[in-house]
Amino acid sequence: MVAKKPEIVLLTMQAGEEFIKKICAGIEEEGLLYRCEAFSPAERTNISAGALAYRAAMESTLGVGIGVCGDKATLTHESLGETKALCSAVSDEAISVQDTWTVVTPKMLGQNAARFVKKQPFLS
Amino acid sequence: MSLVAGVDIGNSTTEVCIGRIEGGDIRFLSSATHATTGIKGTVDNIPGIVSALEEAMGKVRLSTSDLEYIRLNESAPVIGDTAMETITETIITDSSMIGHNPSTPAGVGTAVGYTIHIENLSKMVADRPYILVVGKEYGYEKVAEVVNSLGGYIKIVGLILQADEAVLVWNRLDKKIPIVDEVLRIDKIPDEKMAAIEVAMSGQVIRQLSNPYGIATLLGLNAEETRLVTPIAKSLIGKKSAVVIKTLHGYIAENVLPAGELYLKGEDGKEYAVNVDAGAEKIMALSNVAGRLSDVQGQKNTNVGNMFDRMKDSMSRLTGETKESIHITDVLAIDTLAPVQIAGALAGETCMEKAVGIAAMVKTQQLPMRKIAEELQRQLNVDVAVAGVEAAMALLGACTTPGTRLPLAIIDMGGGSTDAAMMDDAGNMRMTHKAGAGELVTLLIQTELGLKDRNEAELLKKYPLAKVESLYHMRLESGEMQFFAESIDPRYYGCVVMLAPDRMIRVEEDIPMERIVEVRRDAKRKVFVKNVVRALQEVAENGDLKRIPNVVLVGGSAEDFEVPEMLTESLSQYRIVCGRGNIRATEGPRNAVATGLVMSGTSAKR
Repeated sequence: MVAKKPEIVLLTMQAGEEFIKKICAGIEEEGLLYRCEAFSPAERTNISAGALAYRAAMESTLGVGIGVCGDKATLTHESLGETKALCSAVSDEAISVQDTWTVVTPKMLGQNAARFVKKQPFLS
Repeated sequence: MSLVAGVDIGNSTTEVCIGRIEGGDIRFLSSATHATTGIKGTVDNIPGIVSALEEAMGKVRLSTSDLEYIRLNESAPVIGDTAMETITETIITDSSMIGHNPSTPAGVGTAVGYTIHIENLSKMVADRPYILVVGKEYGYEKVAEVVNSLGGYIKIVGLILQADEAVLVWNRLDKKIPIVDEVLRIDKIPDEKMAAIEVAMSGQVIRQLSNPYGIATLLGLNAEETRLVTPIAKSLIGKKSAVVIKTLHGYIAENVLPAGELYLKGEDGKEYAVNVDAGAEKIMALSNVAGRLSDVQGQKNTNVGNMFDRMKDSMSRLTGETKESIHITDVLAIDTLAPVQIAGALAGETCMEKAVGIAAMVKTQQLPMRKIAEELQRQLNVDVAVAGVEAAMALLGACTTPGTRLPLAIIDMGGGSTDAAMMDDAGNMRMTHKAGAGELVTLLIQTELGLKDRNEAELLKKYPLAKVESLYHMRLESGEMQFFAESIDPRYYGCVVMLAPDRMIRVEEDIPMERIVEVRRDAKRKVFVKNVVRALQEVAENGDLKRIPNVVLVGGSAEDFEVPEMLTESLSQYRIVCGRGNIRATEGPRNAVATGLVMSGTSAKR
């Protein structure tokens, strides 16, 4: 049995490399550890970024997970269950979003994941 | 038998009380509160009055036409104003500096070198230490690559980044150097100037650049230059990273505006002068000696002179009277600290300087209540009378608080002034108005915490605080923990919030909860406790507080969540029973004047 490190878990599916890299840069800037894994379901299923994030959060010893699915990413904490999330991001930053509170840039999403662990307020 | 309404128009709320008078007996039927419409004392108040009356009558299933007559208060003809002025001399130096607390700088230690923007790399020469300045359009990988590739022949000793990427760059450097990031205005940093940067160890604050001799050592300053960078060092205390750039051209503008003298004119014609430098305590002591004041002035062309000029200007605008006819009849001075902008600061950094906050009060002509009465009478077709001085009515109303008896004093803490009235066994009444109340507290909170928004200070004054520590709990300022079954909105996570009755409000500035609480309590104590003692001394027989057995707090400020307790505590040393009023045992501290108006209606007309 390998000891689990305190790290944020990212689960990705059909996501662009640049998009994932920006999120990871956010976590690194805040000085947290992370683990990034490609998610390959046993059977072909339709899974959302939110569901992926929840799965990642359950795997993380910190309880903090990020799901990246296609051009969408979601950050959540295990206590929020499958239906709620902390915030999300889209890969194309040019897309204008209505709710600037819960939709942030990919790098900020990574930073917020780390800031959540450090108990600091979110960037928005 | 008749139905009477008492109407009290206040600065922020209009309160009404409905009573039924049968013979000499009064039965209170209902009351209501509505936000005051328009400025107090103008006919714009009428919509608010009518709404409040309709609400109160509606509660007992009656309409305003059932009223026999309405009694309006005659409000106290005083207005107050507040101002703040720093009293220490202001030195403007020509050095530039950046001091801030980015959440994640990188590298540890100090570095001294010449500033150079990344665009001007080609101008660099060997054997010279450089501090590289990089705009946010350069990504962390690019920056690291550039610095690593220069490593051989050009010495880069430190980095100033505009983007929040210090850790990312640092992780990719071959040779580790201190990096300050999140510097917004890098365009203001000149090229080829000597600069020193410092990044503190994690969990610590900078040491070299917050020390005048530290700056002198790093930048090679002489004694005179060191004296001039002292405000810079002072403003960098407690920061996690800083930059100081030496841009002295031998040109130093030193602007010292003297604090100035304050002239208190007593009613006996004597004039007393005091230098504001002496501090609030001296000023208040002299005001005590001077007794009742006929006017207060500041020395021309000094900080305090300008301050009184501005105050009189704004009061003359408010009252429509000429500036010459504005006479200040009371002042309250309070020592405080105010942030002062440092010239040369590249991000609007400030340092805290000694300051004095002053509340002043002027007597004005009577407000045109009669006009309101006439208009109200026309609209409702009910007799309206302007009856009774506000303080007397408040006293009458306050007597309905259970557990009180004459002699009794009331304190009404409003926005601009703290008013006191006292009635002895024989029914004789004395009253006074003192400058300084809620608005001065707001001003003190705003300046001491360096808030940009006055409204935020107003909210901080009103609501207790909590820190959201997880998605499911927060720590209240009392130390208690409160847990929630549903998760708290993530936007409040990790923040200090104000607990308004129906919602949470985020405190935008990054100030520890304990500090806000301390400043808030301090401001309230300095203004209210000081003023209540001052006011009571004036209405008490021979100025002896021990002759007042009961003090009842009425009005809006009495609803404050901590001021009444502060007063109860500090007045207990004079053996005074002091507490928040409970008008008619049901209304709390509100509605005293309206209730008094109804009560005085029994003895008045019909």
